[in-house]
Amino acid sequence: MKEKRFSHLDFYFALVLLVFSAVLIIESQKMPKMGQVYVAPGLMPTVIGVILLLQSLVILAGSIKPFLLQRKTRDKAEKLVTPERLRLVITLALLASYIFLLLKFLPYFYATSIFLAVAMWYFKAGAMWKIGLVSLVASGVITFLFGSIFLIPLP
Amino acid sequence: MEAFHGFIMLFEALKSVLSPTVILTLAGSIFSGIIIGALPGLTATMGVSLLVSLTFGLPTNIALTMIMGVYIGAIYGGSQSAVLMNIPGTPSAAATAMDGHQLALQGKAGLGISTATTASFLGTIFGVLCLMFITPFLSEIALKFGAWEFFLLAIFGIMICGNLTADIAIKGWVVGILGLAFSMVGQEEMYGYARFAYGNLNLFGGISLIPAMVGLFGISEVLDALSKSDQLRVVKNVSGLTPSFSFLKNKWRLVLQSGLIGVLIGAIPGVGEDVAAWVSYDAAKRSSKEKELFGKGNLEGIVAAETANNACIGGSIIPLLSLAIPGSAVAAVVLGAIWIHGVRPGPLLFFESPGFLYEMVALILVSSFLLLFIGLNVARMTVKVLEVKKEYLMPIVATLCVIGSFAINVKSFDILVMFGFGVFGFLMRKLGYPAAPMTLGIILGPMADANLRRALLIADGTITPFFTRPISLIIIVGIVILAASQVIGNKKARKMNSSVEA
Repeated sequence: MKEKRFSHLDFYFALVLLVFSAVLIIESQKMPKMGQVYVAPGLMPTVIGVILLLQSLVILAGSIKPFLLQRKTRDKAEKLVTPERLRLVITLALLASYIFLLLKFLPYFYATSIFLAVAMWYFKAGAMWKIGLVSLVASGVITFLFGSIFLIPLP
Repeated sequence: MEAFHGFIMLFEALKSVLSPTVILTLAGSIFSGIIIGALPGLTATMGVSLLVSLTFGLPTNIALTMIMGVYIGAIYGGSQSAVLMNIPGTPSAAATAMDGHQLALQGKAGLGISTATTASFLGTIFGVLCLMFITPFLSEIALKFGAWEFFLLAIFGIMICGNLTADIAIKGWVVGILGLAFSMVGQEEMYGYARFAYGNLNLFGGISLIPAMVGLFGISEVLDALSKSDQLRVVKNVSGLTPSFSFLKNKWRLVLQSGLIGVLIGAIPGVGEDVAAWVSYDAAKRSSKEKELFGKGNLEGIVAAETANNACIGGSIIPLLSLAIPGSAVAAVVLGAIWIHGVRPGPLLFFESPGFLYEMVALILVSSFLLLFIGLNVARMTVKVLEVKKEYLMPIVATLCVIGSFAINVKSFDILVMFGFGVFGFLMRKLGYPAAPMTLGIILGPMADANLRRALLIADGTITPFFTRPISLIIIVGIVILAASQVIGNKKARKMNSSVEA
């Protein structure tokens, strides 16, 4: 197996983890004690919070060097928007639109057909007629199979 | 006498498994599993987690048949893309690619696939026999467990997370503990107090395992695949697909050695099929008379890797059924599936569901024969499927993730949970943090919480019984050894790496 050390990105992760664990501990302390501390609902979350806090400190300590090194050596000309990042953002936007908009306002079959067609079109899956056919057939099969055969309620 | 009773139970289970409905379901699931496993980007863990949610409404026996079929099919299916494309469809087939693709380049793809299929068949049989004979003994020991041992067992489960990562052990532990933290949301078992719900009714019931799992493995995979623009090349010439028993007859020692490695590694909680395949490949290379041919198309390499990763299935189900601790990432998802269908794996399994072990054994046994038949016959079709562009496939997978997460509780909130965990899983993947420990943490959280407080309540707040009860002490020693081995293993690997770099 491949072994790696911490990277500069772990530094940011450790900071988020640090804040998360602190919130976890504070919120756990606000829970009722139910008579004895050792049966309180907040006991386990406090223990988890403390462990996460310690772990975040270990990661923080291990990632400081790579973080400082990266700040010194980073290429300032490096582009913020790369093709890969753009594809990722578009995928996220498509998924979010499908979940938060299309499924909310349209019946499942139509929402899914539109989502599939737009996603396949954006990622240049093939010719338009193929995309239209695949998205309609896939939506139809999924709707029929899960809605009518497996009797799973559709969103 | 007990073994005889076991055989009678197995015979009964086989009678129900050999019904046309179950056989057809199993065959369809194995076929789907092979396709899922063969397609790069669709892993066994993802396929099984998606299926758990989609089969929720089906009768338990049919749902578990489908899940086990896909599990076994997917672990094997990875070998087909490993041979044809040099890209293991699942991580467990990475070692198979070493020699399998070399054979394909020499025009012997059919020989590579048939050897992988036969070895997978033998590995599965070996694993299931071990499952049948070892699980009852382990369960008998687990019957002596009290709240202290169950709490420590949950901690042991979290500690194995260090092994579920190819990176630094702490990364696995962090994700496992984060899983525990997420499992704390919602009403707790003792007083019904709603933790971290903030008046939101959706959060009172806690974070559902399935939407979280589908997001972590499904949506994160979709995001990862669609954000890359690369396309893959497939070797299309596949011929000579016949079982390789004649070759394997002379390699029975290698088959036994690889099967044993697979079962042992599978039974160690948290160490999965991929590790089993690599360790077995390494052992085969060391003991081979043709060491120099490894990596150049040596059939022994394929036999070692495929026998071990499929034997690992039986091995990973041993701790799952007897201790409710999964042996691998996929087994963690299978554990969730079994729970959802009302069966409680663990020490009481033999009292609550006495025939369950034998039903699983019968299912895997029949699956292995179907795998041999289907695996050899679908290879040509796999070539066609592997040519389907991911730009067609991944959006469809995303829609299945949405249905899967919604179907369990018919709650739109679960789709949000799935989406959130999907994005979180993707970010973790990019940072080198594994997703499987999160599942384990969410499953083990309530068990750890309730048993810790119960143990402290029984002992009036003192922790002394943790150190005075023999089994508890053994588990503590096990936890310490496990943690130390992971840390020492990391240091050794670092040293090796730096010496290679130098």
